[in-house]
Amino acid sequence: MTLTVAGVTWTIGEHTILDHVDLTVPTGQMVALIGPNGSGKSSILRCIARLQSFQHGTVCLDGSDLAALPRRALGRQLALVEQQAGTDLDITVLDVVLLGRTPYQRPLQGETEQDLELAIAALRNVGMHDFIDRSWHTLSGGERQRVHLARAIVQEPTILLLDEPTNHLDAHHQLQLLAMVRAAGLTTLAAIHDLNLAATYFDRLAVVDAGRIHTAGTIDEVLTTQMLREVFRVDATIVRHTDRRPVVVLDGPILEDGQR
Amino acid sequence: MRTARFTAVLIVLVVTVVGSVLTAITIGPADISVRTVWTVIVDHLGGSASGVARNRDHIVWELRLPRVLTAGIVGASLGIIGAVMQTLTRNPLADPYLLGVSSGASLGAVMVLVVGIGSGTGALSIGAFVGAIAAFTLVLLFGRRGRRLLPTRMVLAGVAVGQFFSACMTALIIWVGNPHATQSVTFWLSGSMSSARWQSVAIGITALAGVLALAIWHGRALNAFAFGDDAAATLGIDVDRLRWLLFVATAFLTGVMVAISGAIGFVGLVLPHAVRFVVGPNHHKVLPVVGLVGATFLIWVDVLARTAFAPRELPVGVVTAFVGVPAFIVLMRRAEIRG
Repeated sequence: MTLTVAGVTWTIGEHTILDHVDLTVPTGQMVALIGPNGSGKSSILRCIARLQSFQHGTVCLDGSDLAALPRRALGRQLALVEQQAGTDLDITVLDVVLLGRTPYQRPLQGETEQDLELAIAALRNVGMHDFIDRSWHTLSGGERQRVHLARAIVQEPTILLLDEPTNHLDAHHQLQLLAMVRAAGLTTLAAIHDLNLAATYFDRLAVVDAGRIHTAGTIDEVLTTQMLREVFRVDATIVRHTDRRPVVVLDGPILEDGQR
Repeated sequence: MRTARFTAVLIVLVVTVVGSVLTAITIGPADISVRTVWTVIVDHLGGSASGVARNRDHIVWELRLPRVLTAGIVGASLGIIGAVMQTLTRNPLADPYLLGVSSGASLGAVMVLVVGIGSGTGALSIGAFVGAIAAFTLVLLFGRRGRRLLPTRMVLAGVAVGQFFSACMTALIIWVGNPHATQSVTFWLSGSMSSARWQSVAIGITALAGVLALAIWHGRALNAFAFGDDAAATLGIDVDRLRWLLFVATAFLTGVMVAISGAIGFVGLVLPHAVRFVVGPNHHKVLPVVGLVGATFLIWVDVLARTAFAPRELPVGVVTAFVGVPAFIVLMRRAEIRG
């Protein structure tokens, strides 16, 4: 199903956080939101997931407005992996993943055979099957994000939302996590900080700048030195190969007047 | 913990509670033999008049049994309220009195004494209940933005309202200079089962059953709070609605318990942590277990309170603090290691 964000505008008093955001995530595709700090990447995700209300605009799945759905039904359509969601509770890996079944369970019913099978399969997909009875607090940052991804997968969402999921992870775990997201095969919208990660693992990019969509399109269309100058205020070289994705090499910041 | 083992734990705990009730009613300052106690109970349950002397019959059936049952009901309620509050505020130090309810109850009871509307424990309990609900209503008023309840703001509002109500109460006591008022405050601030009668058992068990059923019905939703509000919302939980519902329900139950027995500290703070340590964080397990453990715990605390310095009685809150404070410190140290 196609996710369509149309004219979403969110203001706090005089302050405009999102300004007529239009965005499309086609079925089965992975779209990355890139942009400087504070440009509104997370805000877009929060508005889509209805964690934030906004004044104008709509978020639709194949033409039907998500605002009309009850929370529980929304939980079956969208899953979110946050940057670093932690807990004080002493909870096992399996129980974290089973939380993903919440929107499907009746109030007093325990986990079904099917819930357990889904959870175990998802843990196998993210390579965390051997950690099934481990306590959350014994996991490393990369392992925690993989468990959160498994939890999102058992939620069986139509759309997967990721809010800077690779922050605080080392290079190996960044690549590993995004490869697993790809393997999950879900329609995905993710806020991604690292330009090269976005260019390597995603099908399309949308550039967010000051609460607006600056440009959106394929990697080659979006990733230009001019865009990097305008939006990210950096001088960069884009290395293009014939058989692989383009690579951004950062040359230096663009200094403004008086900043020397 | 898997289902079979959990069922076994539950059975052991139920047996422990029943055993505690049956043992606790044989203990007391009046010299009544175990055999006599049993005779009274069996005869009353059988509906026939007991052959036991009237005053002994009265002590066992009208004083001891309702008192022990009330202790169990209050202990269960405090444990359950604490567990729910800690989840809803995501604050491991949350307890049933976090939202100013106990100071409200004390002020309410003292006002009844001072103004002298009605008399006797009934009127005082009603005063305490009204005071508790008034304090909680103020906390709701200050702790929200629009229709949303903000847990951090509610905790701060609870502290502020609690302080203010305590100040009002102190001023009131000094202004009227009534020794009964001073006594009453001690009762409502440190707790006692001494005014427990069958009526408190009936009211208490009804309120407890209602709120426990509601909390267990929403057990799954409470589990979904493990990783915070946003995570719960994306798992399909209407976070704002659930907060309203369960905050109001638990505050109501706290108000009832304070009206019955005064404010008893540490049970609601420490027991939920201890129980989670054993059965894990799943509310479908935590809530029934913490109820049973809380009941057993307070039954024995009350036995200690009325026998340690007999015929004088220790306030129950003093005994729970003696047990609770060391446990609390251990808990804090554990939290430090983790955080």
